[in-house]
Amino acid sequence: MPYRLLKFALAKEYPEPRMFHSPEVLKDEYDVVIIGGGGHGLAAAYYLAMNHGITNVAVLEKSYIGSGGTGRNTAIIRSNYLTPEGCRFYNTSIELFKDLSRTLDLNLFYSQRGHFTLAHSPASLNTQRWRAEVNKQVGVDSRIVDPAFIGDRLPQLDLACGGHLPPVCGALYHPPGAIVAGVHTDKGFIKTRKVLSAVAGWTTSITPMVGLRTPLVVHPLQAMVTEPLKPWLDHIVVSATLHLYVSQSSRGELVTGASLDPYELISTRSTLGFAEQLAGHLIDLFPCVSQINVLRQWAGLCDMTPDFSPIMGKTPVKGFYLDAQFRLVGEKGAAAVGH
Amino acid sequence: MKIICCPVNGPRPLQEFRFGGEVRFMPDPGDSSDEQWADYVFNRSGEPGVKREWWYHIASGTWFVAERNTVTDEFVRTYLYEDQPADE
Repeated sequence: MPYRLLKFALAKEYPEPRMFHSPEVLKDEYDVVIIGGGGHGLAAAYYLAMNHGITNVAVLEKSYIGSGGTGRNTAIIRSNYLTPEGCRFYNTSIELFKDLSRTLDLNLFYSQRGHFTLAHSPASLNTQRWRAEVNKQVGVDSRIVDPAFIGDRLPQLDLACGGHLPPVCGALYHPPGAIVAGVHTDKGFIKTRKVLSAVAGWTTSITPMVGLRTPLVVHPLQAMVTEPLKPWLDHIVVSATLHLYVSQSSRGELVTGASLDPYELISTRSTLGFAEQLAGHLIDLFPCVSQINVLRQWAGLCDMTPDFSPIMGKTPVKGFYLDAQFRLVGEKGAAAVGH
Repeated sequence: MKIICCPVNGPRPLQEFRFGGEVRFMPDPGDSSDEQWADYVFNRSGEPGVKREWWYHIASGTWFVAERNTVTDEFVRTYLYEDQPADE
């Protein structure tokens, strides 16, 4: 948060000092001289200092700061241009502008809004469609929307244009990045701009909160342990055909499990059917354990994608990061995922 | 033993059934956007709640629809696809 602004708000007098020095006497020598103290010139000086450590820079301005385009533009920064180069370029600029208020401790009045470019003819709509496709290619969110969508978002707009002009037949829509604002918890609201969801089996309960649809469905995975025995099984044995794995823990219990439950369920209940089938197959492999008792049985939740690939990283919801689908192996990947 | 009510054969044990996934409707491929089509192909309704699902009674070869709570595993009702209740 720009604290300087707060100070400014509480002060009785106009306390804001001039941001730029304008020395009467110039030095004899500078590493770089920039002609023009507009947005581009000042940005060049700023990034020379920030990113390249070059601070001995003179910016020459014949008028006052903000006298040109910087003070006369209509304050729209967007990236839904027609050429791929343009899209990438302006998108970079948007990304830089985003955090500038915080970095400079100065309110730049940056806010994200949706952007409509209206089309009044099929030809115009074709051009917009072209733009939308180029935008999508380079990862800029743009799409063609119909008059119903426009009317819904802009209820004040007369789509018929008074009846004497070509009516609005569609638009290129450049939505604002949906941004995470915070998290509601049972201990109140937490403000944040970045949220990582790493909740495995509860992922499908979280994603609807941000309007995100995913391929994930949840299946229980059950396991059980027997009473402790003296050490006799020194290996881990797996049979895919019998749907079974078994090992002996350091405490002597046989730890055994099977494959996923055959249908979707978001519950950690365990079933008799599972225990029966698993015990049966365990005895098929190791007849010697037929007389030992089962101590505990439980189930865990596995969030599954159809191809069993994990989902890690950014999502279409800005600031919402997903870590999901480590199915049967969540604990195994934990260190690497967190890293 | 969990019992499921097959609309044709009545109450039968779970072992006689196979799960067929949620009931989904294919959008018209010629008339849907890339997003709608991708949503249909890739995404599923994994959130907890009562869902309409395909279930198959293996012994009799019967496909039917079950409305099931995916949190409590309670079968709300089952019916043949063509006999879908009017309140839907």
